[in-house]
Amino acid sequence: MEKAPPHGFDPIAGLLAAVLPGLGHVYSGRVKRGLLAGGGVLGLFLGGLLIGGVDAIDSEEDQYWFLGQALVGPLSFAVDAWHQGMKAHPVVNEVGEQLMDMRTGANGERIYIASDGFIAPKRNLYPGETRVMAQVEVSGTTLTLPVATPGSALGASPAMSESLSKLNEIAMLYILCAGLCNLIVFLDALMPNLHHAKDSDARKAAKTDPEPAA
Amino acid sequence: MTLVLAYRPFLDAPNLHDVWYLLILPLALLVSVAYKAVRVPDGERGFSLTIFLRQTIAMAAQVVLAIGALYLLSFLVIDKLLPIVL
Repeated sequence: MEKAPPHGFDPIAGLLAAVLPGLGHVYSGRVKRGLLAGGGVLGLFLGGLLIGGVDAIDSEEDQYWFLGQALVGPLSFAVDAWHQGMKAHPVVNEVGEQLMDMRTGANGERIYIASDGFIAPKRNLYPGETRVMAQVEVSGTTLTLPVATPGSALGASPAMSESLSKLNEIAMLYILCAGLCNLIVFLDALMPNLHHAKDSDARKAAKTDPEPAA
Repeated sequence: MTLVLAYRPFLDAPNLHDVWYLLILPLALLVSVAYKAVRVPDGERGFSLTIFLRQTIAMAAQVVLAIGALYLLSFLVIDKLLPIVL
């Protein structure tokens, strides 16, 4: 029976691989592998962001996709935080009912605050809207919340636009694939196969060489 | 009137709706690059770029062909076979 190839365990390389794709391989001296693996993972990640925009990562609205996308590491969480920071609480709900009362802000801008304590979840801004921080009183407590308000009043437009249809799905798929590939890269950095070449050669030889006659 | 705003990379989605299926090509290639970078065995003098490139292109081609075959199979079952059976 063929013996399993010996494996090493390199926690520092694993930690570096978790921080940035491919960095663990570079640290452990496998520079070409690290650069190629990192290039592949980051290429998928940036490709997804170019296809779908920052909307391709959304831990609130696409939480199941985000489970896989998070495997890219801190980059995914940073982009998600950036995206969530562009959202705001809506003024009206999906059937057009007013959720918030309009008030005039200190600088003359129009802002909307919650009227009955109900705060709708944040969403991406529509064209013509912008994000304003507003003081909202909820159950006797004053909160400072980002609220959607007409952008024309401030001469502003949304910070980003929502990607739709197949392009959004493909963009999310790119980043999900980046996460899954990075899991393989991370495991290879954490537990490198020390005798990769010898093991491969042994298997090739076992396949090609005929069994010795008994 | 259609309002066309300038595309801002990483913030907006470009209009690729007509060519969405072509996006499978870079996807397959980049997945193959990342996978083969850690799976290709070392050559006589360590990591061999030639072996890596050969295996990466082969894997990318297999992925694209497999997805194309799945598309064809789905098309035949849904569009041709099911209307006969049902």
